[in-house]
Amino acid sequence: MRELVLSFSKTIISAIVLIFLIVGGVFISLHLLKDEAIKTHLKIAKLHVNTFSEQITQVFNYIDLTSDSLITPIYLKNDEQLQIQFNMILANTPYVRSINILDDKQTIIKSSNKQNIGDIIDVQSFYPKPLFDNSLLRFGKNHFGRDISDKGMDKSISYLLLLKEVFINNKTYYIVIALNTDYFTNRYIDSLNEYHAKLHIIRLDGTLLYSSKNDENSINTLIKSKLMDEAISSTISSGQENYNGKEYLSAYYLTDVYPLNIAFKMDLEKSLSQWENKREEIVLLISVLVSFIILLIFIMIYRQKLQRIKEIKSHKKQVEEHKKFKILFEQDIFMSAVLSNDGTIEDINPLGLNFLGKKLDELKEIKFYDLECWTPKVKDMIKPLILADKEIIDVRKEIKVIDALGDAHAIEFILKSIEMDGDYKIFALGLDITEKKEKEEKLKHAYIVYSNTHDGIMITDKDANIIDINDAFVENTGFTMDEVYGQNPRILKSGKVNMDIYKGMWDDLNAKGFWRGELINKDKDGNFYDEVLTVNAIHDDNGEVKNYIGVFTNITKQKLQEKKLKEQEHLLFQQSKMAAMGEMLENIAHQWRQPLSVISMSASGIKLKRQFGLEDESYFDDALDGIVNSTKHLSDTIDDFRNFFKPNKEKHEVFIEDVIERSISIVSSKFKNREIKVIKDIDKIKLNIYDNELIQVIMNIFKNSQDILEKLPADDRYIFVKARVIEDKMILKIKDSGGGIDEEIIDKIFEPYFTTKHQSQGTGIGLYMSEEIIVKHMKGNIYVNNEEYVYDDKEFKGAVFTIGIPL
Amino acid sequence: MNLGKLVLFCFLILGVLNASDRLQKIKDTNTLRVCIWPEYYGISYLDTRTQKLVGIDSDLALELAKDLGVRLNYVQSSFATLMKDVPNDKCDIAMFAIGITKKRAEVLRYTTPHLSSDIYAIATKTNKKINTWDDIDKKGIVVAVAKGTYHEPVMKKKLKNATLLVVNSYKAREKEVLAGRADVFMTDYPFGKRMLAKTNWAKLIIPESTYHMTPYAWVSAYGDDAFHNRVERFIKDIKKDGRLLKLAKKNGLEPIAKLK
Repeated sequence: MRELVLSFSKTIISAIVLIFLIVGGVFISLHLLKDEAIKTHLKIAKLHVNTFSEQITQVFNYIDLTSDSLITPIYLKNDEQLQIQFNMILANTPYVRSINILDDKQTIIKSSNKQNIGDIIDVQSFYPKPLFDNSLLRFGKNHFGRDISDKGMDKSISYLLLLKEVFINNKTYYIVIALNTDYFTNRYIDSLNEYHAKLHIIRLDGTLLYSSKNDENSINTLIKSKLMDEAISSTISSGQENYNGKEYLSAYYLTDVYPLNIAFKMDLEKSLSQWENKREEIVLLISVLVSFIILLIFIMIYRQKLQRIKEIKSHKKQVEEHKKFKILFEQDIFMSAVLSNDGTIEDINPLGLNFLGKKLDELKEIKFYDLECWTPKVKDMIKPLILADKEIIDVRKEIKVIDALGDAHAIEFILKSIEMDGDYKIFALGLDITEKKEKEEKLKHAYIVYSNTHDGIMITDKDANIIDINDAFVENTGFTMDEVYGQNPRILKSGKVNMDIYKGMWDDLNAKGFWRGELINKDKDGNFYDEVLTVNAIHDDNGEVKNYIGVFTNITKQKLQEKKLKEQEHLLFQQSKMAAMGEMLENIAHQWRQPLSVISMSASGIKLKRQFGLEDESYFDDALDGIVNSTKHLSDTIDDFRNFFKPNKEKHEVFIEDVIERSISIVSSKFKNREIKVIKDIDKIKLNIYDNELIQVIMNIFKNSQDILEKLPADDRYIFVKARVIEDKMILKIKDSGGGIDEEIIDKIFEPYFTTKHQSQGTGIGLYMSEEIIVKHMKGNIYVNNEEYVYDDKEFKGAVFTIGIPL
Repeated sequence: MNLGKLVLFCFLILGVLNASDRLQKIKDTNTLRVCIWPEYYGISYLDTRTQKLVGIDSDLALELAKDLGVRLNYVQSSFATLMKDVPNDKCDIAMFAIGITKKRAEVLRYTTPHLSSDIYAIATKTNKKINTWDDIDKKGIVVAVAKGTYHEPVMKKKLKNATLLVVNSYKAREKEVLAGRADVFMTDYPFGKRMLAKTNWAKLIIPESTYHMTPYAWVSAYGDDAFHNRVERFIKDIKKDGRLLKLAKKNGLEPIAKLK
């Protein structure tokens, strides 16, 4: 529609332009015709002025000759003869009004009009002034009146004076003839009226001597005219000119002999009035014709335009189709090829070329079925198709094709013949579905996983209504698909979960699209179960939540196991504690044995002395001091043990040296009895730890060393304790000289219940607990290795326990 | 000494006597008298309608008078009367492109030429016999020349086959041709141009190679070197200051002006 309007507008504009052109053409033509008419009129004017000029020249020639005829009577002074001559001239020449003879004083002495005699005429006013020949005919001005004697009284009539100088009898005479200017008007009146023209006789000095019209105001005035000047230089001229405010078509002619310009001036307006009338008729006629033609042209153009629009639309459609085809052909979704009906490759799109790793030039003229990408099976399928009945090829198959790199691709292949411009072309399309296939495979796998996983999966819509569940869900919850479809997962709610957890879950889902946490839910039978639930929000392209996928693992059994493990650990801990306590009691026994012995001996000594009446005061004092000191020692020992058993609720800032001293102090009696020597190399290192726990660990290590060392000769019993700060850790190394741990069991010594000792000697949880304490409570590490070394010039081998505790 | 030579001698003596102190006389009378032939178109042509002289020599006469600082007085002369007018002191100098001939030089003292013209022929456009210069000297062709012009002796000598018709005046030549009594009349460049400009019947026949180049100059009487030298200086001046070229252009005679 828009095109139609546009076309219509164009047609209108074209029509307007055409009208303007035609009207312009008509006007130009009329203008040219007018110019031609003017030229014709100018030619007429030139013809007239030429004719008039010749005739007027003849008049003046006659006057010139006539004047000569008067010389003889003047010479003879024969008045009678002169009068006869006057009469004869007047009778033969209607243009002579009077003939006058002037003496050298310029006074009329003889005249055909007696009344003129005595009048004086200014000879000097005549034109031209002769250079050599005084006898030339000279021209005076126009005078009003019938004759010279009138003195210009009668303005309705005028005459022109002509002068000829004669020299007779050594005396100068002037023959002056009064010329009847109306003669010219009367003679040419018909022509002048016909052409609405006026006749001018102009002296070469520019003085207008005669006008056929009543231009009394202009007579004897100087006239300026370019055309007149042109005639002076080239005899004749013509053109349009303005004279006294009116336009004329004028022609000027310079007479051959006399100093006169003859002008024929046609009134432009009147001269062309007849032509103008005709022009109006022509304009009217042409206008009607032009209008009719324009109308016809308009209709034809409009019809053509409609046809053109149709054609353009059709062409546009074709172009559009072509474009679409081109776009379709050059897209990078599927490979396409155009083949001639014998299978010769004509074109392959960039995706196809890329797949084949070739350029189009390399493939042109090659048969499609000869491409290297086909497997023999596919080639055997394609070739007969192309070479057989080409008009009805229509194949769609999934085939395997090899790309330029040698990789196999799954291709959705279409081979189809299409009629184009009376010929048949074959189009081959190939959609690489390898990825799709892989995805399908993955989806299949995913589905298998989905179906077979032990994790329960539920999928909800955006409003958290269940739309799908897997078998594991059914297995874990007891609910079937029919029972949960469209239900909110809160049907599983046990009521044992704090509402804040649910709130946190939704906050996380809304904010991060993900939540993971533990919940206690209730199955269909009302049984509670623990689960670890992971919920993911699935968003659509607009970022809106589309689904929620909840995957939960039933951890009820795991929880039970953990509980059991905890209980076991607790048991272990209790065992360890009991073992420790046994150890402590043993240590106490060791510690107490000597002071108790001292007390016993002192008390026995005192008793014995008292029984024997030996009052040895100094002995008593010493014995009592011994008792007091021993008691104190016992008391200190109790403090030490009590401190050890005091549960460590808080960490303390302690120096590692003190911790080690306290540990050694506890076992000092044992070590002393067994001659175990402790060699210390301890830096001053401050730690923030549960000190009793570290003491327990050190004592465990000491205990292990003690057990092995007591089997060795007394001289070989060493324990080296070394503490350093390395990087950001306190490294405590406890090394003995016990010969090291058997390499076969060295990796197992931190396992619970592992022991190399007799049942009565060890529980097998000492080192296990030590590792638990260092690793879990102190975030440190503990390991053991064997080391051979030399001490005091003696070679030793022993186990080295290394404890690293962060500062 | 025959009578002719005696007359010529007398003229010369008279001329010498009259011409003595001519330059002084010109200054004393404040008038330079220049002989012209008023019918010589382009040279010294009198327009009867305006009674004004038009032509290169009438213009140069004005220039000479101006250079001398005196009034100019044209004196009517002609080729027919030239040989008398100048020696008889009718004028101080004749300035109307006088072709240099030996005969004239015997009586008249030529100045350095300022123009130079070949001979041309004028026929009517309707004349079917004459179309080229070679058509002129053919049997049955009548060639008109004006008496007293240098064309007369030249054509007498040159024509072998054609008949030479010597007429009394310039106008008579035209009339003979127009009337068909002659086929062509011989003239020079200025007159030939006039015929083409002023008539619609004339056909100019141009020689295919130089036919008879004639230098044109002015003449004065023998015997007054001062005046002659002054005129020679004037000629030098007008050639040098461009007046000759300017006036030659004005009168359409540039092709025949001798500017050096």
